[in-house]
Amino acid sequence: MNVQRSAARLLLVDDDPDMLRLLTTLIETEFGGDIKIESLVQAAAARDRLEQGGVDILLTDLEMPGVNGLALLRCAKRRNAYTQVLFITGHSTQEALLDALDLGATDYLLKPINRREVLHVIRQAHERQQRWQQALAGTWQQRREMVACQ
Amino acid sequence: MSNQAAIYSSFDADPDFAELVQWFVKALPLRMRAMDRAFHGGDLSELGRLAHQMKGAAGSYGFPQITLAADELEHAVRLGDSRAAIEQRFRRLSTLCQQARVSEPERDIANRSSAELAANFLSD
Repeated sequence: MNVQRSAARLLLVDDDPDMLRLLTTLIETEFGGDIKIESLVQAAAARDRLEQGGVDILLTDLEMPGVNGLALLRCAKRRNAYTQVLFITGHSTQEALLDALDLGATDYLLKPINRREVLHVIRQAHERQQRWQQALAGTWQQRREMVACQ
Repeated sequence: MSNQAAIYSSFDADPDFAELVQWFVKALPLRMRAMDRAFHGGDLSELGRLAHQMKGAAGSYGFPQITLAADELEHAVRLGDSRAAIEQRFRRLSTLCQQARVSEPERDIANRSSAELAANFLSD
């Protein structure tokens, strides 16, 4: 099976513009064209964006005014089950973290961020997302071949 | 302010991030002004939120001292400490923010107008 790799689409959400700027630069510097970034400062706008689909990795603050990170996770997973969801948080309750795990969060990072740790976690999420994408593309290919043989 | 009082970002030797740190440092007075408004307006919930934001951002930009002070302020607000205790922590944080520097010599961004930087900060 030969599946063409395309740039992963990462949605970055944080209510602090300085954090968005830092994370965007960090990810772009490391991954270049392998990851295409969209960044949003308002969680409600992020929810609307997720509803449109096409997000492979969601990196979001957990606690934001209005719509919180857990709501974004639910939205992302409903739209695309293999979207990798990474939380970034300064302080969270045990309950919020357990909810995040239950709902299928991939990983979480603590603020202040450690740049190497951020890149490591994103690289893992990127690889996992690519594996799921290839596996699913493979099953579609097998189905097409089975139909063609019948 | 003397150079002895200055605190520098631990990113100062990283060219990829130098300009970002400059933007962050230049915008610190805007953050402190917003916190000052919240404190003097009695909006402690907003003060706590802004302190929480500062805690996450400052250390991420290489200023762990500011993160520590912001954490103390956030805790004081959350625990419902006295106004005097909150003010003391707020002043400590404010002093550290005034001492924050990118590196020596600071680059051309330091010469950009506050209005330009404010517009950039608020438009994001």
